[in-house]
Amino acid sequence: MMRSPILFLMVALSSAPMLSQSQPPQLFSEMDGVHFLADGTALPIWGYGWTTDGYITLPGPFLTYSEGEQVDLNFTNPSPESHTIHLHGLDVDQANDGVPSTSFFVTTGQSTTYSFSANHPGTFLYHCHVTTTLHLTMGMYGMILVTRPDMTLFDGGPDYSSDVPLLFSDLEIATNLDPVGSFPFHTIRPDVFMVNGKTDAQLELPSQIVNYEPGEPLALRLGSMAYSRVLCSFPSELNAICYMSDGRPLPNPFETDSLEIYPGERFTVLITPEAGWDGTIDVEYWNMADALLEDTQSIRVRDYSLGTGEYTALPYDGFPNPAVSTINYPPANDVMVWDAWGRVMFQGNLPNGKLQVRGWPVGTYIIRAGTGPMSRFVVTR
Amino acid sequence: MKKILVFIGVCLSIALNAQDSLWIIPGNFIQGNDTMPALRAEPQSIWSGFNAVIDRPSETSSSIVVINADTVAHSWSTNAPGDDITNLTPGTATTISLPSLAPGTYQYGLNDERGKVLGASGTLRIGWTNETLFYWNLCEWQPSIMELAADGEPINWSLPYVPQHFTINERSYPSTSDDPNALVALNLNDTCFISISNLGHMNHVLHFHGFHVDIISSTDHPERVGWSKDTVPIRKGESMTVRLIAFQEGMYPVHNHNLIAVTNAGFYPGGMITSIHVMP
Repeated sequence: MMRSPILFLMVALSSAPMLSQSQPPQLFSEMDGVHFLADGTALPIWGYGWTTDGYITLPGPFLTYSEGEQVDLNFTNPSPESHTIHLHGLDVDQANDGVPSTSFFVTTGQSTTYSFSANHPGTFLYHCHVTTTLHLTMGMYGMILVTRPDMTLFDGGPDYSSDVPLLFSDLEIATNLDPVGSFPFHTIRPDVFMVNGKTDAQLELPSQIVNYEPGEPLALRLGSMAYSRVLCSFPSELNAICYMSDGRPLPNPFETDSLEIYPGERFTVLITPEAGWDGTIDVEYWNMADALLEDTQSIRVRDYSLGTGEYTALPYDGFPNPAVSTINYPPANDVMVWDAWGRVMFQGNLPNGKLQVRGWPVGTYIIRAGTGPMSRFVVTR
Repeated sequence: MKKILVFIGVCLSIALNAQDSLWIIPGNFIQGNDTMPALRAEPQSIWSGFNAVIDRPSETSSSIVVINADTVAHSWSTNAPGDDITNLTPGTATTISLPSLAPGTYQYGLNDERGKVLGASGTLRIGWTNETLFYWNLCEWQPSIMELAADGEPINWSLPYVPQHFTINERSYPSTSDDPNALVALNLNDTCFISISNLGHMNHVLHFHGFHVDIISSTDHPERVGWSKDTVPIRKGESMTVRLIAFQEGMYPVHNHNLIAVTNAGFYPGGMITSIHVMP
């Protein structure tokens, strides 16, 4: 029964680094990050990261605390603009609320500590509250979980086996490419729709699949930092029951086949999927202003016994590998080569099996002939 | 001439008891650089720019006289269950029956397109007497659509809806701080009730800093009564009552968490932002 918690930890880790109490709790903010979309597009982001990692992520690091814990969250801001951390839903006092006009800015080069008591178990969020409309869509947000060591959702609540954090968000590519030019802000209309920062094919990666063991309930920690209204659909095989919202138990838990999640809202839904099930939780993103369906993303849920769910690295293939000028394969047609950002570097036939790579940037590439298996090669100097 | 004198007479007599009468009055709604044609359901016969709040006891039928001082006919309704639509002829006073209702928050207003787009609607509070009360009318405004409505032109709702102004009680932040009904001022450990109505054309969602609130009533989602929330959706046409207990002192924002709605004509901060002030 220990396998599934590890897998779910992998889901969280793959979406954002996770805080454990053994790590120095030092968040930092930067405005020079890069986030890759499923088609390989590299987008500038602003965001949070661990000083120990040295890079920011979208979403920011996933923070977990224990119920009753007195938290000191250290934060440093080396970025060129002021930022804060608003602890969304934790009902912290005014000084720690992260609102510049009522609390304080953390200006360039400054550090601070946000202190609060994690009094209520549940799902919470954090985000920058400086020019919030812009800083949030640029990527400055993350999820916070407050959990109980006995693996119950709340005092007197149901048992569960693992947490599955699912943070919904969106962004507008034009804004990320040109934040200054994004004015006026009321015209921001997202065109990328994410789950834990991932979209489309990225959500099909083994590391993103929610694996379960029959009879072991999973706690879906649903939260939205989107500008859209999110609608999650739960197939009946999941036996979904909603127990909590906004970090509080519901007086009347209810079975659910769909759940609306508005910007800033959170829900905790327990699922106990039927044995042998392999399907998806579909997530619709509806525009808040004119109520048009903008996009649908799918979260794969699968019985652990149907697959390992573990990441399998692509094999290296070709000779020489690494290559400097030419790498040799068996002759093949319909060959495609992508770089690490997913951009197509070569498309065509290799009648003599020789792929010319001289002058290509140093790095790892993926090659595939027709519908055959993918493999990797490295270009070096 | 005789009709006009009668109309004025009715207005004067009704004005003696503003609680029982409303005037539908056209005027200009100014937000930033935009001056928009608007309608309001005013408590008196002069334009103030703000819709009136109506208070009634619970489980008791009552009536209200509505004087349509606009130049065109309108229709009136509330979001109370089973309530009928009443037509309002221009230049006349109409007595409207308000149904017997359970305690809570409801909304009244014009539900014809011109009347709704131009914003003549407000809060109907039922059953509150000695409590500490506040009310928030949420609405958003797209000037180009309001111009069409004022001119009697058709509105194409299939086009993208891009409101430029977002208001609480017909005010945008920072003006919301000047409204004693929007700014929640309390002493430590006070309890208050806030009536919230979404009078606009889109869904809204309010986030409370520093506090969770308890949902006491909801016209659209009664199954959520008893939920404790810090982020509260109020869907188009919905009214709800929430209870807030001021357990900690300080100053805390309450704002729409659809972050395009915390702007004025695109400028941040603005729009649907107000505050909770808790004094020691």
